[in-house]
Amino acid sequence: MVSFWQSYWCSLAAIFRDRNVMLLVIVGPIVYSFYYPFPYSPEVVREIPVAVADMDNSSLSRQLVRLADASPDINVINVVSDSTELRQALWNGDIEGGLIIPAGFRRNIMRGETANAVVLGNGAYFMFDSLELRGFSNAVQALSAQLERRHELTLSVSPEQAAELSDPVRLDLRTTSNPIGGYSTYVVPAVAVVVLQQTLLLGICMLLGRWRESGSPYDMTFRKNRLALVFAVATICLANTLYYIGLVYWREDYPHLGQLRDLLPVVIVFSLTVAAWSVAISSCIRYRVQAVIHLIPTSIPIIFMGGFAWPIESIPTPLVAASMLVPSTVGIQAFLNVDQMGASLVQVLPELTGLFMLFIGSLALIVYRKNWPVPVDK
Amino acid sequence: MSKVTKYQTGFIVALKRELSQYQYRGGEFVFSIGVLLLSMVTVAWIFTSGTLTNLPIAVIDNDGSSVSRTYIRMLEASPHLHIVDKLSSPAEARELLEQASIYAFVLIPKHFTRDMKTGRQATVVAWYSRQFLTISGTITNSLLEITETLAASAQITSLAKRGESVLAAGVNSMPVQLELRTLFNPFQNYQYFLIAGLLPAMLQVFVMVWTVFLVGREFQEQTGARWLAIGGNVYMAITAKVLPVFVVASAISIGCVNWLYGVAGWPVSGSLGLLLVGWELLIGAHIVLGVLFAGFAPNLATALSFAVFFTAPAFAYAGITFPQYAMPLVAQFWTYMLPIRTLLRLQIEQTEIGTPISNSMPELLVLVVFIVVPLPFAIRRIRTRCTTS
Repeated sequence: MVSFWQSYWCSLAAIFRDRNVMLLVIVGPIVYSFYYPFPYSPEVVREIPVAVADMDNSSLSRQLVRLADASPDINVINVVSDSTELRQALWNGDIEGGLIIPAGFRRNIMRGETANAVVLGNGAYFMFDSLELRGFSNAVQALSAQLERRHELTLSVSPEQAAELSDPVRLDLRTTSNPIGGYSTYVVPAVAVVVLQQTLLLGICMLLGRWRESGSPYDMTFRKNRLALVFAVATICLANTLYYIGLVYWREDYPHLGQLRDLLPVVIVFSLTVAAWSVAISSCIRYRVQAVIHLIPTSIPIIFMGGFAWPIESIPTPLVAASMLVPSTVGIQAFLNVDQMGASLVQVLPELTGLFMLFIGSLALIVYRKNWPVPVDK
Repeated sequence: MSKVTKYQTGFIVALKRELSQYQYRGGEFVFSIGVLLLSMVTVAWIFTSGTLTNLPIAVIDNDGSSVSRTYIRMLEASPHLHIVDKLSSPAEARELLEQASIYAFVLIPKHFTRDMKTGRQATVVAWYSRQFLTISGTITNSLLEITETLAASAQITSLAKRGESVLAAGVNSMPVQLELRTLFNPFQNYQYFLIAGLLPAMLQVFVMVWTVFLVGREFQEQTGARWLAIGGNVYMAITAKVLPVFVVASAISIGCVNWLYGVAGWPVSGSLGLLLVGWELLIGAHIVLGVLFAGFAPNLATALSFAVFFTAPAFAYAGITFPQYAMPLVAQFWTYMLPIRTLLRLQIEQTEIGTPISNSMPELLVLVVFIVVPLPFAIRRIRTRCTTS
C-alpha cells in the first residue's frame, strides 16, 4: 500500500509519460493560447470597405462623402453613380456596405426640407452593420450639426450658445471594462475557461481509458489513491489556469482589474472542480479514445452557455439549469467578473458556491463509485 | 470474371465487413450521433429568443423632475432594456455592474431639466461594461437612440418657442435623415449568424473524428492488410470504410438545411440546391482529410488529437464573428486552409446575399480542391501502410 503523496506523484508521472495525454493537457492549452487569440489580435474592426452611390453630385454630397471617409470605422473605397453598381460590389464581397445619396439631396436641404440618405448595411455578418451605421451616422451627424449650427446662429447670440442649443441633451457613455471594446478581450478570457476544462477532460479520459485497457499504476480501489489522482489533475489545471491569467492575458495585453487575493481563490476552486469533474466522468470511459470520439461537438454549446456572448437572461431556463452541471458555465462568470470587471471575492460568492457544489458532487461520485481500472499486476 | 465485377464484389464484401463491425461498435456510433444531435439542438435552443431583449440596467435619478421621469419611461419602453433597479448611489450601481447583475446604469444629473430649459447642454452619463461586446453594443445603441429622441423633442420645443413653426423646427433640428436598410438579415436576428454557422461547425468535427477513428482502428488493431485484401484494391477499401459516415453525415446535413430553411423558415435568396452541394462537399473534404490524418499519424490517439486541434476551433477562424479582412495576414491565409470558412461564405452568399450562382463558383471550387488535392496522398499512404503492416 502506497501513501497519498506517492500516488500523487505517480499520477503526475503517468500523465507526463503518456505522450498523447500530454498532447491534450499540456500542449493543447499552450497551442490554443496562441491559436485562439491570433485572428482577433487587431482587437477592433476598423476601415470596413464601403462604397457610396452619389446620385446628387453636389458640394454637400461630396462633403458627406469626405466626412464618411474620415470616420475610423469605414473606408470609402469607391464612389459610384448608381445603386446597381453597389449591389454588384456587395455580391462580389468587395464592399460590406454602402451609402446612397439620392438626387436632390442638396436642393432639399437648401429649401429647408429634410433630406434623406440611405445606408445599406450588411446584416449577414456579425459586426458590420452597427459599425457601418456608426460610421455613416457620425458623418451625417457632423453634417447635420454644421447645418444646425448655421441655422441656430441666425437665431442665437454666440457660436457656443448655438452649439449647445443645437444639441440640448448629450449622452456621455463611459465604460467600466474593456475600454477599447476589443474583440479578443471579449472572447478569449471566456473561451479560455472552456479550453482549460475541455482539454483536461479529454486528456484525463484518455488516461483512465488507457488504464482501463492496460492497467493502472496503483490500486484504485483505495479512496486515498483516487483523491490523489484528483489533486494531481487539479495541480495541472491550476498551472494551466495561472499560465493563461498570468502570461497569456499579459502577453495579449488584456485590460484586467482583478486583485490576486480575489483571483487566487477562484483559480483554486475552479481547478479543484474541473479536476474532480474530469475524473468522475473519466471513470466511465472504457477505452483510450472513447471520450475524444464522443465529446468534441459539445464544446460549442458549452461555450455559448457561459453567458458572455448571449446573456443568461435570454437563454431558456431548463438549459440554464442543465448548464450548471458543467464547471465552465459559472467558471466563466466568476473569472470574467473578478479578472476583467474587478469584482471582489464576496461578489462572486454565488458563482463560487455553484462551483463548490459541483466539486462536492463529483467528489461524492469518485468516493462512492466502485468500478475503477484495475492495477497492472493483478 | 471481368475487372468491373471483381471490383464490385470487392466493394460489397468490404462494405459487408465494415457493416458487420457496427454490430458491436454500433452502440458507440449511435451514441456519438446522439451527442452531436443533442449539441445541435442545444445551440439552436440557446438562441431561440433571436434578439436581445430586456437586458437588465439600473437608473439613478438625481433630478426627480417630470422630464427625467419621461426619460426613464422612454428607457423602460425600449424592448431591449429593462430597468431592474432605481438606485441612489453610483457606488451601489458599480457593484452590480462588476458582478454582471446589470449591464449598464444611467445617471441623470441634478438640474437636468433646468439646464435643458435654460439652453445649457444637459449631460446624461451612462456607465456600461463593455466586456460583453454584443450586449453592450445593443445597450449603447438603444441609449443613444432614446437620448437623441429626447434631444430632438427638446430642440423642436426650443426652436418653436423662439418663433419657428413646429414643422420648420422639426426639419431644422434634423436637416439630414439617415435611413438604415440592413440587407441580407433585416431582423438583426442572431440566429442567422450563429446557428447557421455553428451547425456545420459541429458536423465537421463529427465527420473528421469518426473518419480518423474508423481508419486509425485498422492500423491500431493491425488489420490493415486484411482490410485491403477484402476490398480488392485501396479505392474500394476506403470507399467502403467511409461510406457509412458519409451517409449518416449527409442525412444530418440534409436535416439541418431542411430545418433551417424549411421548418424554421429562414429566407433563402439564392439556390438551396447549391448550398446542399456545398454541405456534401464539406463532408467529403473532412472525410478525405480524416483519412489523410489517420494515415500519417503514428497512432490513433495522436491522429484524433490532431483532428480535434484542426476542427474544434475552426469556427473562430471562419470569419463569421470577426471579419476575415480584419485578421492578421497569416490568419487570413490560414482561414483558407479550413473548409468550414469556404462553406460558410457560400452559405451566406446563397441564403442571405442572394449571389448569382456563377459568382459562388469559386467557393464550390475551393471545396472541391479540399477533396481532390489531399486524396492521392491519402490513398498512397493508406496503400503503403496496409501492405507493410
